Amino acid sequence: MMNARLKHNGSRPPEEWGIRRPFHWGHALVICLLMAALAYSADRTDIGEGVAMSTDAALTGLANLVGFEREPSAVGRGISSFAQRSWPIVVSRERRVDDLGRNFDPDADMPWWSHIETRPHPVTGEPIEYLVQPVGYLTYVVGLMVTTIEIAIWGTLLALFLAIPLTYCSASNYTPHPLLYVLGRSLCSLSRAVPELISALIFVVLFGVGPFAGVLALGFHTAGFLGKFFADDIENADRGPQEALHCSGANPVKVLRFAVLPQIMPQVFAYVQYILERNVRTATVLGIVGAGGIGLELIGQWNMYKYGHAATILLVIFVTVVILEHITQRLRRRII
Amino acid sequence: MSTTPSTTHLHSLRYKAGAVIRFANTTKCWQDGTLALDSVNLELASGECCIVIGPSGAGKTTLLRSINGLVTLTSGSVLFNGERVTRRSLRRIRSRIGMVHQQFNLVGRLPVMDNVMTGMLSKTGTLRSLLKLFPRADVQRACRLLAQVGLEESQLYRRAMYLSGGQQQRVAIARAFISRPDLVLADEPVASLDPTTSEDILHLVRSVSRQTGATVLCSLHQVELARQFADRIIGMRAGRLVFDGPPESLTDPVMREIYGTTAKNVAAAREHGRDNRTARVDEASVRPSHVAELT
Repeated sequence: MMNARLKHNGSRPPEEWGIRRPFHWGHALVICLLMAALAYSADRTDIGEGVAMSTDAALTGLANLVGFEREPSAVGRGISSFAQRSWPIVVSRERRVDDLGRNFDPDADMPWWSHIETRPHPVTGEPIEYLVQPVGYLTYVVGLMVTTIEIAIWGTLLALFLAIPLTYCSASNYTPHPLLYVLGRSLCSLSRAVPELISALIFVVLFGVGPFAGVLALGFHTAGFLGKFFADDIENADRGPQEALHCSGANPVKVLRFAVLPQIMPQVFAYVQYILERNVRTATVLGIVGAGGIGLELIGQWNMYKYGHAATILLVIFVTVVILEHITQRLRRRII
Repeated sequence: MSTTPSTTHLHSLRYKAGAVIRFANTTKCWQDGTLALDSVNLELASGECCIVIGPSGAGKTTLLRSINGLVTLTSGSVLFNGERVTRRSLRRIRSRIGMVHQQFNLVGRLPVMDNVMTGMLSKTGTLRSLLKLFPRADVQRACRLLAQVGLEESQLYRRAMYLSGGQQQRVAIARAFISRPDLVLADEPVASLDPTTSEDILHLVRSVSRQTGATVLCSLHQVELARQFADRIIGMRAGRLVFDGPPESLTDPVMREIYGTTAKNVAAAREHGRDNRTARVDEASVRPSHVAELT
């Protein structure tokens, strides 16, 4: 309709040229339909109730700030309950000496930085010996975090290893065969389509509970990302240098090495850095399904309402992610 | 690198008799029906410096690119050292040909040295080249060539993208000549350079090719430079060879036949900041009849 009006104006004076309006009733209709769909969906996903609760919490907070008394909101109660139960965060670890086994010899087997305390039993009053490690729980969690990072690093290495053949097949201008191109691209999509929590569940069944299942889950999932990213970059790389090297009789592998790889190197680093960071974050939750790492400890403590322990774990995860990002940023700046 | 660059070490003149390149009824027709090469018959003798001139769209680039298989022919053939250029023989033939491009086509993020060594890739094993383990003799020859084209040791490991246009083209020349090619193709090598640098670059191509005995086939827009550097000039128009001879016989009538206007007008057009496209519009009135048939 609009186009038809624009078509026959070849000879009209410029004052009469058809100007397209930025909006017309079609846009309004689309917006109305979208709003209706969003409203329906909001009702199904409790968005309305959530907004009401948040507003209530914000109003209460504001009222308390100004000095008015107002009944505590549901969200506010939740926050204060979590804060109360998770503070102070747990860094020490206590175990009854009797639980450590008969062979425990207090003179020879004492762990690093620990002592034995004797306290009366809260009910019977008889003296009980406890092995106290002041930072025992923190070091345990940090150890788990290191395992988690190791899972992420191995997962990223596996992804890189798998991505190399995937990339070679999935770059349309270097693929050995069109069928391999379709296969490569499909494998990339498939591996990205299966979430790592699902594949971790499967790998836990195949290889048993432990970090190896996590490594496989991360590796297979992120290989699809890397394969796609690298292949897209190869396709978009400047063709001039590639043509020059083809002209000198170099085979495709050498052209990739000398004319394409140097061009895409900065992006390759950026992607690997992102995937590594992402894998560390994901590896923290993979433990929930039994694939090793810090997640198993987190979900265990959370389910036992030990928020003090959970808070320690969350804090360690947060600090690790921030430090890791800082390190990779510096590394990237140095390499590029 | 502790090499002492010296031009005297360049290997001696290898002048061979006979045709390096033979075009036999070479024809290229693009999908839209444009005839880029129309039954071209041409022979280039070894050691010759041949410059192709002609207006934009005359088929100069297609002529050059048909030799190393960047353009697939519609009919006819191209013979390189007596061997027909086919898909099968292509890689072997390409390893005997160096090419200098208009846009330099260096790998910007690679250092100068590596860019030159990419010219040797066809003669280095895959594993060696993947690890950049080039033979020492080749590396030294690269240094000598770089010194000859006017680069200094301090620029050896600079990334190519940080060099000026003229320096980049010098590196590209070193890359083209490092594999001791029989033939060097230069596709408008000075089109994006200033006049002084253009002259320097062509001078370099000429002197290095003389020393190595390589044949040069170069396309140019600057007729004056062609006169100055060519042993032989070939004029093209609408896919056909309309002139073939020494620079002295490039007279005004010939220029009119190639460009549809005289050399003076070409120069004047350029001085007024008009490109060849504009000059070509003027040519319509004086277009020879056989060209009109084709276009």
